[in-house]
Amino acid sequence: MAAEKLTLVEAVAEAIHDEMAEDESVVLLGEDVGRSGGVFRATEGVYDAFGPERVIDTPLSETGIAGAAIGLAASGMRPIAEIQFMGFTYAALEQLFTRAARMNARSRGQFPCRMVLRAPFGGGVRAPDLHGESMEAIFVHHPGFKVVAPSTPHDAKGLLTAAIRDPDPVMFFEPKKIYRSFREDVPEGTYETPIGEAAVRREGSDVSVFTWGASTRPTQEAAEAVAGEGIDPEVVDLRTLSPMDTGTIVESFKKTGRAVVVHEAPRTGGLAGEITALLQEEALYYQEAPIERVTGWDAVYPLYELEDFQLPNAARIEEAIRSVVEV
Amino acid sequence: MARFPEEYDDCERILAPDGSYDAEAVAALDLTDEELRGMYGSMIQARALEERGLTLQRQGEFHFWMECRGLEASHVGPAAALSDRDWMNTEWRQYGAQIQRGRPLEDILLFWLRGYEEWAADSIAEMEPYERRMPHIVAVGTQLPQTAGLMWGRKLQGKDEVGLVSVGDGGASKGDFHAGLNFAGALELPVVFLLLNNQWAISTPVERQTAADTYADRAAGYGFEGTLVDGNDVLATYRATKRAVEAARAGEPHLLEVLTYRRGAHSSSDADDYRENVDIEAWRERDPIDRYETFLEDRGLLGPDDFESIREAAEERAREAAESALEIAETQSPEEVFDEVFANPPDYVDDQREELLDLVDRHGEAAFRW
Repeated sequence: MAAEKLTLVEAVAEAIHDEMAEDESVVLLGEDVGRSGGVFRATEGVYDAFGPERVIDTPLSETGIAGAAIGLAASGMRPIAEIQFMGFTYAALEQLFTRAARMNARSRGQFPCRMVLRAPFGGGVRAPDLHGESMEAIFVHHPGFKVVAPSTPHDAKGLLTAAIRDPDPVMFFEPKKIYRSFREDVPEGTYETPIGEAAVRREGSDVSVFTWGASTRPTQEAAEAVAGEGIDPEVVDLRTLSPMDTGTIVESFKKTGRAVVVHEAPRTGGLAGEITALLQEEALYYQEAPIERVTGWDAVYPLYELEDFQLPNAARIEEAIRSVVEV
Repeated sequence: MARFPEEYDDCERILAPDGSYDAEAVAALDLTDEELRGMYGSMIQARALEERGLTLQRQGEFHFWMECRGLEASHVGPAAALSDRDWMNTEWRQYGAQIQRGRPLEDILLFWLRGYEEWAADSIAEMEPYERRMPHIVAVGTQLPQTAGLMWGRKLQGKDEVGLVSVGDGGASKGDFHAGLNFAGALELPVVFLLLNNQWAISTPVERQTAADTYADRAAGYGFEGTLVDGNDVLATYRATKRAVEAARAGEPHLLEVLTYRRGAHSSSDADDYRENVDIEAWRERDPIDRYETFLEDRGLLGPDDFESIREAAEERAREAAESALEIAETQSPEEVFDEVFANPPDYVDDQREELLDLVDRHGEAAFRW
């Protein structure tokens, strides 16, 4: 299959474009997604290709966008809704929690909520308040959603394609810090990266490092750095947060007996706690050292220059890896 | 102080509280005798169902009941104005609306017993008129942008369908009211917004919800028309909805405020100790069924004996439906906890179901019941 070098944000646009070409019931809605191509250009060219009927610049209202997407799904369409930043989904949470996540259950399958809600998440772009949130755990906590967070252009396209085709509401969180950080080969034409499968980014035998989204980059850097010291880390990019690929997580841990979990989201109530509990339940007897969490602080997201101290960096991750390996 | 339709110059009415009516307006409705009797039957059936439901709630058979006494015309008239292909997203308490569209009583009651709804049709194309609805919402107001989206989708599919969606005076205070009406206006969607102003949101009176005299006036802010109607006049609510549906079909949404009064409690959990009896009495004198009976008698469509037999038949149907619903609901099994949580369920759903069933198996179902 032919491939082209794409950034993550270009891969998102390509997935949307290809699925809209493939399936007439796919429509795109959100603020500034049409003529302007989105504040991050994630829908660049889609309006030109499919026109104002299927690519709709909506009034400015996140609850309206989410509510309309739910109704579109009920009508038999397959909406892709964009919320400009994850922090703006707060205004849509009532629609998402009280309806999107439970419509299939409450209608006993008559009205599946086939929708994708895309939102850039995480910090690192020096933007104002509510532009740097990592609140993926709240969506994982609510039954009924699937929650996806790709970290590479290849996965962004494949996972978004799978999300659009999935019959359940998929919260698709895109790591905006690495929207344009690198290019990689992305196959032309449509393909699916399965929802619910983690990817082992680096195989190793000494310690398992679990992460997702933009944190995958500093985690891989840290892994290479400690590899120079003779430590052999395995890096697992979860890619899907719900349903979590517990099999791959447990298997990796059984091999290494040691774990570090890295996420941008605040520590308390974050998914690192969930992963730790999973390992206690499923693989306690393989455990060689306390599990370390490298996370955002339990602080209201610090802005601008202070962001540097919030996001897990390679130095912190390296330190955590050394600390669990040394026990 | 309660509001009354006669205080508003522009509040539409065909039937006065004493049963007198505008004969020309009635002729212009173009309703058959059968249709006129049908609306009566729906109102009576709603009241009978409520009596049965409240009795069973007091006996501990039902968990909860939301009351509709005195609101029957505001529920039935608008539903009667829809075509079979149109959609209707109601609130829970609009029993009369659901009955008017043909929803089996047992199906209405099962929602109270199980908290979910079922559809017989496999697809939208196969749906009966009463099935053309989204599941009931609980978060009031959220249904408005959802209905805008629903009708947007149907419009994109080239369907000539209108969506009627209801909201109360309380729900109209939420941001979703604005989002829903604004989306429908800006995107030119075929939606009729039915604002059921029954003047109470549990214990909060309408004057605490808004400083405005009417809700219908809000339509101007969205670039479409609004209408105020006497909500206890089934013929006026029918006519106004019919007109609104035609406008919506032509691409202009409409806001229809039906002014009525919730004489019953909010629900079976509401002590209803926060308001003046004088208002309830004043609205009892404006009862929607009494005035419609006077009209039907005057037109020679039905008489006192008919009223009696229709009521008895409605009570019997309510009794039978309740019995059957209770029987069906009794067969719920623990594994249903996991039914349809996902359309394409991940493995952990099966794992947790097995975990629960294993526990139930070992401890017995009685250990879980409380």
